[in-house]
Amino acid sequence: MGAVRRLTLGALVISALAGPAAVFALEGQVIYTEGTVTVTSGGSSQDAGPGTRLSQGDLVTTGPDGLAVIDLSNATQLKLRESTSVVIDAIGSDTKVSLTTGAVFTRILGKLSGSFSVQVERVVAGVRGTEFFVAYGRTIDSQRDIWLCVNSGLVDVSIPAANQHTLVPAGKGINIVGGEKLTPARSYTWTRGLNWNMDAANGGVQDHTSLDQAYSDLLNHDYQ
Amino acid sequence: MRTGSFLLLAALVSAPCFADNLPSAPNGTLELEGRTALILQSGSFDFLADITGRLEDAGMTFQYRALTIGGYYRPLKNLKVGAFYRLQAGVRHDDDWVSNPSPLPWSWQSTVGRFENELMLDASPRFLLDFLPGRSWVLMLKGRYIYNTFENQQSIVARPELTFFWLVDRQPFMDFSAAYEAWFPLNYGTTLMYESYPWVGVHYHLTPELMLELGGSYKATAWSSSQQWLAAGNSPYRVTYSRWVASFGVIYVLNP
Repeated sequence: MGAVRRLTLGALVISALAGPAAVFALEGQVIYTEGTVTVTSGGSSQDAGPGTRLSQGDLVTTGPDGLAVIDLSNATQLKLRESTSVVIDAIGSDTKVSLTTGAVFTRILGKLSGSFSVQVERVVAGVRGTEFFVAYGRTIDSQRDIWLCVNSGLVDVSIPAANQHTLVPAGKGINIVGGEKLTPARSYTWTRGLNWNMDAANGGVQDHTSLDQAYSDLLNHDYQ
Repeated sequence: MRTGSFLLLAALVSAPCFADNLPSAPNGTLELEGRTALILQSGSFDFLADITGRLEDAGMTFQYRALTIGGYYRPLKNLKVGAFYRLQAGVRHDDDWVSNPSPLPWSWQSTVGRFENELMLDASPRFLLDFLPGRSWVLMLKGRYIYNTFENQQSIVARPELTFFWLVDRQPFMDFSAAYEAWFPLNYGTTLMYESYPWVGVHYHLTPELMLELGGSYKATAWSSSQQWLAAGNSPYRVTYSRWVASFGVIYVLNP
């Protein structure tokens, strides 16, 4: 009996020590915020700050002055820029998030054991061990462009419904025109100003890169 | 009666002689122009280097050549201002119509080896005409002051230009322009406009950095009496020289 009690106690201690990590492995949390950040869970919204727990189905929204860095399963970090909304579709071995508006940076921490993807309308950006940025661009003829650029690793961008897909390597970006057409990956000057930092301890985390730079400035053409 | 007949005969004989001594104006000739330009973009600044050459006259001689360097600054979204220096040779000015040896024959002296310096100041407001079909039209009104150290000639150049950008996947694929350029002499010549021409051109954006340019214009230049001509006691003249100019260019835009 004494031996059993010691074993049980030992198991509880181990469980208590391992518990939070096990919870984080399957869930997420907000780790940094600036300005207004809200989490909508089960129909109710609350202001979010560092430590706010995130679960599958949650909606994370930043205000016009807001910024949030969130962690999912201790494996993936996302930095939401201002005026951004992200839905956490799934957390676990197959982590999925959906960007409904705004712009988000993602970073895979270490080696990803499962898969991670970001869905933007009909576009899916699937990654393995990488760092990339995805954002809505201009809305032209009622169609929103989606821009994606990769800082490290490789991103498989696909539109399953249209049977299109392309690989975007580090240093390249693509525009998904109107969210419906993949363009060839190439270098874009505007991506050089992106702030990939997600750790406030390492400096500013805000990114003020204007997506307008992604479009040709027709007023800037002058050849003589 | 005899006197009248003599005067008429003299007028008929002298007129062609007088006309032969005027600057030749072989209307309808073709000139070929080529240029290559490098544009280095850095924030609100564009640095430009341009080399231009032109084959002129009936013999297609390599007459005009120019090196231009300078840059634009964009203080406002709708305005660029620029300053440029140009080293050029082969430019024909009014006073290059000379008689050598005097008094005959009159001809253009060669300027192929004569280098001239020009300083230019430029302001070019531009506007996006997104209410037009296609929504990618740009109207630019270029104004340029030119000071040529040769004889201290000063000019104002006005060039309204309308451009349509053909966009593919949100990026320029080709652009088509139509412009009218007019040179107003400030301290030379006897005409309001020294040179003027309509111009049409197209740029093919091979890559975002590399463009090919094709252009065509019909130039008209108004030559006024040269100093030597007037010093010889001749009556002043004005001759308009018109010709077609076809141009080809390669433009490279760097944005490091």
